[in-house]
Amino acid sequence: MAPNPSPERWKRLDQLFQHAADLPGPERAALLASLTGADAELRDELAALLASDNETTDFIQAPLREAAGHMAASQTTLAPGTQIGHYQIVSLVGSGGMGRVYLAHDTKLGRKVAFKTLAVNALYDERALRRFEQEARTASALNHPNILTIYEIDQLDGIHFIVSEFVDGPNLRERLRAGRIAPKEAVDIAAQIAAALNAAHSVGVTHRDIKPENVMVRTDGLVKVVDFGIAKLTEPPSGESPVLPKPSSLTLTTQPGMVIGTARYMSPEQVRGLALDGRSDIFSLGAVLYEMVSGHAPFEGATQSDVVAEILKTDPKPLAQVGPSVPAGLDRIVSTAMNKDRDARYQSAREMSAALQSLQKQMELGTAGHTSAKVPFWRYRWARANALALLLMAAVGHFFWHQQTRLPTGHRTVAILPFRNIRQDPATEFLGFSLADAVITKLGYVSSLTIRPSSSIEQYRNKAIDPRRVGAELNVNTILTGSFLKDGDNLRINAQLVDLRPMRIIWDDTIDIQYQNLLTVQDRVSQKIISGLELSLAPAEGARLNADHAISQSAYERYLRGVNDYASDDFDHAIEELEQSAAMEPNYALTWAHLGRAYTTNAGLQFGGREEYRKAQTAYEKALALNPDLIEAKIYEANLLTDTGRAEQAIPLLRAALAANPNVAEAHWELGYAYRYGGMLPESVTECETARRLDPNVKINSSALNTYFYLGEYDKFLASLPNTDSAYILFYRGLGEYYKGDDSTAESHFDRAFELNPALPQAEIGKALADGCRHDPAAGRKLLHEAEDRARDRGVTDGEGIYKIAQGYAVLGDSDSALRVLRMSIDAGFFPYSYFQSDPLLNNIRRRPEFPALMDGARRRSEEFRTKFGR
Amino acid sequence: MAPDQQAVTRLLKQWGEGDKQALDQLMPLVYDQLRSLAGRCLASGRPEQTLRATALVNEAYVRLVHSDLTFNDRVHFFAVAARLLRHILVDHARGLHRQKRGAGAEKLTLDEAVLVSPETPSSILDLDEALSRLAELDKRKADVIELLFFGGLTYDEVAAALEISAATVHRELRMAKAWLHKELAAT
Repeated sequence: MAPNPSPERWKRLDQLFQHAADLPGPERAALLASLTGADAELRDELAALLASDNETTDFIQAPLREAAGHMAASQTTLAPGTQIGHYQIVSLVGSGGMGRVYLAHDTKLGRKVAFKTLAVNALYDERALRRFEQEARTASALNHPNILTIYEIDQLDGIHFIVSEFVDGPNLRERLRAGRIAPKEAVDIAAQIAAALNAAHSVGVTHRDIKPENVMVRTDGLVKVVDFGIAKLTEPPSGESPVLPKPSSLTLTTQPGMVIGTARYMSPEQVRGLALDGRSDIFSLGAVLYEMVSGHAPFEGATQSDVVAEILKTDPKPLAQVGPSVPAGLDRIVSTAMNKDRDARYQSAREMSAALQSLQKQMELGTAGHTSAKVPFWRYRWARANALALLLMAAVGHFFWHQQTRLPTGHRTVAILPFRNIRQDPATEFLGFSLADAVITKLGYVSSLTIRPSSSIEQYRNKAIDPRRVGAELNVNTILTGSFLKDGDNLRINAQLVDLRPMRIIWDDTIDIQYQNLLTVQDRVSQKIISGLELSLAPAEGARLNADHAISQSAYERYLRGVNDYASDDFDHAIEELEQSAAMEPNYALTWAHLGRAYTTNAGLQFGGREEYRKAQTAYEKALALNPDLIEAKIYEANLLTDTGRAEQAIPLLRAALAANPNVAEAHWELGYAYRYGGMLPESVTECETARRLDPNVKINSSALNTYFYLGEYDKFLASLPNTDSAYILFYRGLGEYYKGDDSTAESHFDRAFELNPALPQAEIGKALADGCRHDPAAGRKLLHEAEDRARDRGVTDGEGIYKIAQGYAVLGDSDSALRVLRMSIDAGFFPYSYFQSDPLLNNIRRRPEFPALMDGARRRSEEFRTKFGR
Repeated sequence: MAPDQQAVTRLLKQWGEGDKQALDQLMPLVYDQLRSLAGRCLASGRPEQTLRATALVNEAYVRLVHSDLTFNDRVHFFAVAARLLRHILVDHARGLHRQKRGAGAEKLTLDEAVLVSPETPSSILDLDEALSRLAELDKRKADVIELLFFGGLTYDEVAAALEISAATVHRELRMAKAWLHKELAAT
């Protein structure tokens, strides 16, 4: 751009223009041509000006109109029913400095959400928006119960918005309008805010706008801090204060002092525009706590500048003067947090959190002290009485006084949820599930806990977690939730142990370790859970907890990856990783146990394979040789034994495991499975039902309660099937309908199953039956032959699976094959005699002469089985 | 009189009498009013309706100022309002929503609305920028533009505000317009 003309030249230009502008065309041109000397340099500019002369003023009016229209448009509220993407606006629920908040319906996922519109403009705020987004996502990725979970930040139709969980409850500002908050609750709320801050600070996010409007209190008492990072949207250039007015000028060019946001809860350094860190949030939290307890903000003033002056120079009125009798401890916490010198405040949210928790305990004991002059007599007495009790108890060596805190008296049911990966880094993705799995394994030995198995928590990987809902879905009263962040060689894990009834956070902590020491994570987290729940362990349990053989970092990492792969149904990779891990470290029992399971599962999908089962058996033996108490290995091995026709061996194994660990759902399940093969059908149902009662999600993808089937309870059977649509489950659904006589529904299920996975033996059988329904038995029989051949090639051993082929043949009229395969099935260890007698699918072969002999054999084996194992 | 009116009237008088500090105190009050007007009277209309900037300023004037102001004081008011309105529109176009809290104003104001319409008016930002550059070259010409278009003053009022003759106002306007047009056409 050309430099501005000097004042003299401008003046001259002005003169020339005024003169030339009034001249008619030709004379104008002449004038231009006649310019000499210094004037000549102005010719181009003058010409341009003249060319622009006599334009209408529209070029000025139009932008104004446009800008005004823009502003007008922005003043409109979104009407209910407005659709933005897949969100539908339901109603306006509030508005604040940064935007309006609506209740909306997420039509894709069918849930309530909060939809917040943002005032952003691309031009100036692009960077601010990026920074804000970064922080908001990071804070949300922590998945901390006290931080509002953000689902999406996006823009559509020119509208920038944030979609987050919808919180049912008022914010703190609304609560405060109704009056001050009782000290106990105020401290609890502050403690939860501190927990949120601790989590966020630990990943480098500061809130910068902690104030009552940004704290929501759910109806069940859970606190959610909202708007992390949103202050970044209006951050002034560094070094500039957001609130102090610019020096005034005396002419029309004065710019009014502008204020961004309310200054009331800002820290002195924030008000001054200095660089901020987490201690600024701590100041603001102190201010909020002050207001909760007293009902008044710590700094007030007629104008913004007055408030600012107070923040910088005055100390707030002491709590004792402003509020009712307030514990001295609370006063101390507030004044420490609100020290003008940030080096004198709590140096971290965790410190303040600890102080608040300690105060909470004291308040419950009545030892918190008071700032008011008079101590009520009865309190004094009670504290004294307690002190005596304390001495007594201490003398006896019990920690009885701990019971004053709200520990439930019931048994703890715990779900350890997958850790969320803050960095979204695919290379470390596997840690999320595996670390949780490792903790679950560790704690499986603690009899005073019931831990949900890893299979139940798989579904929560990378999902936003609502503690209450998870608790209901898994039927637990305690959950562990957390996140991890790998930064170079460091691994930082944030975890919270949450009590669901009543809702409160038992502990909230950060563990920093070197990545090399991955193995220690499971130990430390497990120990924290045990101490956090104040459990006492039997000596054997304690020993088992530390029994892990040392394993090298790389072998362990492979193990974790393998575990994660299995949970993702990637069985081939799971086997690969686990085999490599075992090669590196052959003495880690769990690797063998998981490897065995992976082999078995792979085999089970194909009606069993000789080779695979052999490898699995070896793996289990190795596992149990290394650690005879390893319950996982026992359960998996039992499953294999039953699959390979040795239910008689599975049963004692499982009974021994259950004697030591009666609450392990999977063990009950496997026992039910073994009973079924031997024909102890009612007992089988009992065990499976017990398993489901202990854990509603146990073996949810298995062939459900086949036993119901055998007992003729088809409706119960269908009801017990999970909602998944895998070929496997679809086959069973079809079979259920088939038995009930609903051929057309059965057909459609069978067809779909075959479509999904034609190589699956069950799907083939299903299709064969469907073909039978359609009166094309030849096609069906062909499929059955294929299934049979394939099974034979692989050295199939699963009697129950083979039996289904026999049923198929029988239905489709190939009696010879049916009988042959039926014999194979019984020989393979599947002989529920009562079922054979009642199974309508065998009707076509009942009158064959070979049939009674076969049945005799089955009956004998059944009765032997019952004699041996029945009670 | 409403307390705001009292304050504004008093401050305008003081300013007119030469008290420069009064201007500093005046600004926020007028600003508040203008902003809330911009919100309220626009919210009732549909987005396509155009805004008469002058209508806004007039409205603000009526609300804020008592009628016993001198002519000069009134002119001063419009001058201030013009400048502020320019800031409001420009700031809004930039997406910044700065608030000046008046005395005791703690409530969340509903007119801090934040929905952005699809087309971002960059042209006002260009205009604003060009106007600022013009002000560096020739302050009086820039003031003329501002008072006329953002403030909606008549030529006579502009003349009074700037203490020049009406004829001068016309002349200044002509060149200012040409220069702005040339500059904006180049962008």
